[in-house]
Parts: sequence; structure tokens; C-alpha cells
Amino acid sequence: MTIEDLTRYRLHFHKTKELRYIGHLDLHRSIERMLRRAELPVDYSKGFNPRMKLNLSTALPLGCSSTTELADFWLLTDLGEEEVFLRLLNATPPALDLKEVEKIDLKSPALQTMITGATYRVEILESINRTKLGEKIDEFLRAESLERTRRGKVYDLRPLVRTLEIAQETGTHQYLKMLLQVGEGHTGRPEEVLLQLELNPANCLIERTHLHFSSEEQGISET
Amino acid sequence: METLTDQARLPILKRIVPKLPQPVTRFIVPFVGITHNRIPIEIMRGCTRGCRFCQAGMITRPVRERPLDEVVAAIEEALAHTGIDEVGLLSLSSSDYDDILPLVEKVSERFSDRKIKISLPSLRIESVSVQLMDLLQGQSSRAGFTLAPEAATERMREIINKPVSSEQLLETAREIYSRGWHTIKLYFMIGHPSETLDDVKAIADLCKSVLAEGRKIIGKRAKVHAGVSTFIPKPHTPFQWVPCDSVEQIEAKQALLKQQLRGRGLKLNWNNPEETMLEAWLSRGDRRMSAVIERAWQLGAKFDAWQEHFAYGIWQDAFSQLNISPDFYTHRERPIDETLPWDHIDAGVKKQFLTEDYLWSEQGRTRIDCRERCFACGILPKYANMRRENPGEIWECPEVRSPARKQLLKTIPVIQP
Repeated sequence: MTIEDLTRYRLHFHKTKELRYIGHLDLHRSIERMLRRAELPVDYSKGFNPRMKLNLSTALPLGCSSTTELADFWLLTDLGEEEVFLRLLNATPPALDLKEVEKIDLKSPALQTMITGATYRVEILESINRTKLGEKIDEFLRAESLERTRRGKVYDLRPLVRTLEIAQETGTHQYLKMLLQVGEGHTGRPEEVLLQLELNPANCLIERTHLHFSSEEQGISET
Repeated sequence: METLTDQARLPILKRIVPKLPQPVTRFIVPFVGITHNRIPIEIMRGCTRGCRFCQAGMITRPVRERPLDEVVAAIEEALAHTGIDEVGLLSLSSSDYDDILPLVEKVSERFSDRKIKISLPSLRIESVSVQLMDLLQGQSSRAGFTLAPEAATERMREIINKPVSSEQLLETAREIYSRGWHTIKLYFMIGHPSETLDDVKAIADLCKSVLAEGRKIIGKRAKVHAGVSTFIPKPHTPFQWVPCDSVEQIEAKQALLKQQLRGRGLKLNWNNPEETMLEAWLSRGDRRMSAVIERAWQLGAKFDAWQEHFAYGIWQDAFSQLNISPDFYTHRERPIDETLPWDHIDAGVKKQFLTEDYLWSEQGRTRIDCRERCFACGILPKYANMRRENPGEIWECPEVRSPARKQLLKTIPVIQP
């Protein structure tokens, strides 16, 4: 086995249905198992306790679904995108929808360092006055800072929210769309935004719809 | 006992399979972390050692082994179906599996480069066990090596029929420390029949001797963790008649251990004596216990296995309100001829065998591994037909000579030359 054979793959998948209740670490383990079931020649870390080399994109808050999840893994033998995809297709756990497998440059930076923002779409399941909601959003966006306390820590929510708007109405419910900051120590959480808008997160369905990479930074303001 | 239908005949004989069924290799793979998060493959059912305290060893007879190829195929299949990275090869005494070395060699050769962790619990106290673990664990971290001497003096080990010499234990310990493990976990029980405080102190002394061996080999990194649980006599065992220790006796023994097992490299775990009492009442209770359980529930007993919810007082109240003495179940030496609450269940082992074994224990007489010599525990006559139809190595019991065949020989006409 030579180093040249090492290839890096990126998995695109949706986290749907019951999988929304499964936390980040459990999802990580589930994907490890999926890769083993698929019998892929996955690379492991060296040392006394070898661990499968697997990087997930930024953690999705518990309770949210997503149509934009990513996971990177490395293979010791290059099997080709199609073969890897087919093998994985037979090994997925329920509610994990596999969309694509893509070969990635080995030198490409780690997933977590590349993602700088995430777009969420929120379906509000209770009936709500659209005008009043609009006013609250305006107030939110006008604010210089919005101090909140989470797990006993005081922080400013405002700079973590890049955009926030009422999305196009498509049914009986109202939808929100928000683009939140992602980065170590400064990641916006959608349910915190909802609480600030005096909405109950338990009455909302939150879905992550897009991850923003640092390379596409310039396009972000338009999203 | 009242029978509801004529077809019900007492005692009720347990049903057994002549050959272990295929292990389950397609099972639910939970998303969240669970305890025992591994693929369990039973390699053998039953045990030929005959430890007198062990209920599993008595009620799972006869010993049936799963063929090596079937074990390997089952692991392969379960890995493909579940993706779980850990396999437990289960049995009551893994070292006694006939092909244990070939099994471990094959498994480690086949699965080690796939980063699959294989665990092999219940190993005997002998250096072969250390070689087995060495083969299985490869370069992975060596957290702890577990051995279960159960008692610390030769006298106690003869009473419980687990004859392992202290020298054998120390030798095994030396082997373990020198092969890269830093921690040895030793499992003991207090409360064996006729145990004295000297026998208990010997537990502490033995732990210290093991630690001293470790110090000689790897210095101050050596550790000994002693897990000392309290023996509770169980039905269908040779100890089903013996009283168990009172809370006060248990506390005195534990206090001695706590005082003795102190200092660097030593750690002691023990059971709450009041929780032990609950287990003891439930283990050998009769039908009146169901009223006690109901009353305790009415008084608020719930989630008793969770320490923060366990309330000893509630159980004592339940007993006293129903005018039942808990000591009747726990602290009384039961006469040999007493009708026991579980006598209507026949686990295949003759009561006469259990009685004899109980009397032998009082004399310190031991029995060797029953693969070497059959002690006529009663399994074979009860399942003679099954054994006859399933000859060979799949059972550890001797083969049954076929009376059917003898008859056949008699009726074959002699051909005159």
C-alpha cells in the first residue's frame, strides 16, 4: 500500500425524520458503522487506539433535520466515486439519505475550518401574526447587540445572525429563513434566534438547508 | 400445588436444545450508545467446573459447544450486517472451550487488521489465558485484566469448589504485568459458607501480594482493583440450603477490607449490604414474597436497582406489615429434607447430587472438571434420548450407549456358516 493510493471522499447526505433526534456523536458512530457495513477500505489513525478517520461538518443542533450534511473519510484504495456510492447505498441506516459521493483533494482543508455559515429554514407550526413577527424581526436586526444567556454563559446573539427574514409563504404555516455564523466559539443556534423572537422552538421544525464555505464568502450577503 | 390441567406434570423439566441454535447475526443497531455495545457470540453454553455458588453452571447443563467454523462465520456475518466494531465471545468459562487457542488464533488473524476489538471474558487463572488475551488484543490499549479467584484461602476455595492455588494466581499475575497490562482486576466474594474474618483478611493480603508482584515488574504503575461482592445462595445450587450473612456480618467484613485495602495502586469496590439483602430475599423467596413485593410497591418502592431510589426501610415495613420474617428466607440454614419453593422446577440436575455436593463442601472435598470424570449429576439419564441422537463432541457429557442398538443385536439372526 503506497501513500499515492490514499484518496479522500466527501459524502453528501440528508439527516431526516427520526434521525433528527440523534446527536452529533451518535451520528458519527452510525456513519462509522455504515462505512464498515459497506466494507470500504477506510483509513484509521495510527497509534494504540486506532480510530476511523472521519470528519463531519459542523454539528447540527439536536432536533433539527438537514438537507446539507457532509462527512469526509479516507480510503486506502481508490475504488472510484460510483463504486463507493453503490456500496454505501446498501449500508445506510434509516433516515440517512445518501445524495452524493465526491472525491476531494487530499490537501483540501478540514471541513470544520472551511464552513463559516449555515442557512436554516424554520416552519412555525403554530398560527402567528405575520405583521407582528415582521416587526420583531426588524427590531432584532436593528439591535446593536442582543445579550442572551445559554447554559449560564452570557453572550451576544446579534453578530451571529447574518440574515433573518420571513420566507415566501407556501402553505398555511409561516416560514423563517436565517443565515447564522459558524465558527469555533461563535456559532449561532437557530433555537436561540427563535427564543429571542418569542417563538417556542418546540412548535417549530428547523431544517438546515445550506452550508457556506469560506471560499464562497463573497456570495453570502445575497443568500 | 394445585394443577389446572391433567397434562401438567410436576416437576416441570426444563427444555433444552441438543445443539446451540445459530447465533443472531442480524439485530437492531441502535443509534445511541448502549451498554454491552458489541456483537455477542455465544461459543459455549454451560460449564464443567462445578463451582458450588454458581447458579448458571448448574442450570445450563449439559455443556454444549459451538463449532469453531460456525463461530467465525457468525462473526463475519454479524460484522457485515451491523458494522459494530466489537465482538464478545461469550461463555461461562471461555478457557474451557475445546478449541480456544485455534479459535483465538483464527479470529485475531482474520479481524485484527480490520480494527475489530474482540473480548473474551471469563478466563481461567492460568498463564494460557494471558497468551490468549495477548493474541486478541494486539497493540491496542491494555486497560485491565480481570481474574476471578472468588476466595483467597485454599480452605475457602475447596468449600466453593474453585480450587486455584494462590501460587497459580501470582504466576498468572506476573505474566499479565510483564505483557503490558498495568491493572489487574480481582473478583472475590465474601459470605461463603463458614467464612471467617481470617478468610476475609486473606483477600486483602492476596491483593497486596499481587500488587507486590506488579511492582517488581513495572514499578509504581502497577494497580490492583478488588471487586468484592457478597455471596447470595441461589436455588438449584449445592448452596441452596445455606444461610447468608447478616447485614452486620457483611459490614464487619467490608470494614476490615476497607481498612486493609488502602494505599497507592489499590482500589476496592463492594456492594451495599442492604441491597444484597433485597437480592437475597428475592432469590430464595416463596410465593408469599409476591405479597411482600406488592406491599413494598404500594409503600413506594420503585427503581430499586437505582441507588438513589432504593429504600431498605420500605421493604422492612412491607415484611412486618404482612407478618413475614425476612430472616426466614435469608439467615436460616434450611434442613436438607425441607421442601424448597422451587422444587417443582427440574433443571435436570438431581437434588441428590446437589445434596451430596453440599455435604462434600462441608468436608472440603472438591470435584474435578466433569469432562475428566462424570459425577452423574443427573443430566444424562434425563436427556438420554437426546444425547443418543446427538452423539460426538457437541456435548461434553459422555456418550449414551444405545439400548436400542443392543436390542437390535439380540434380534439379528445368527448366520450359520
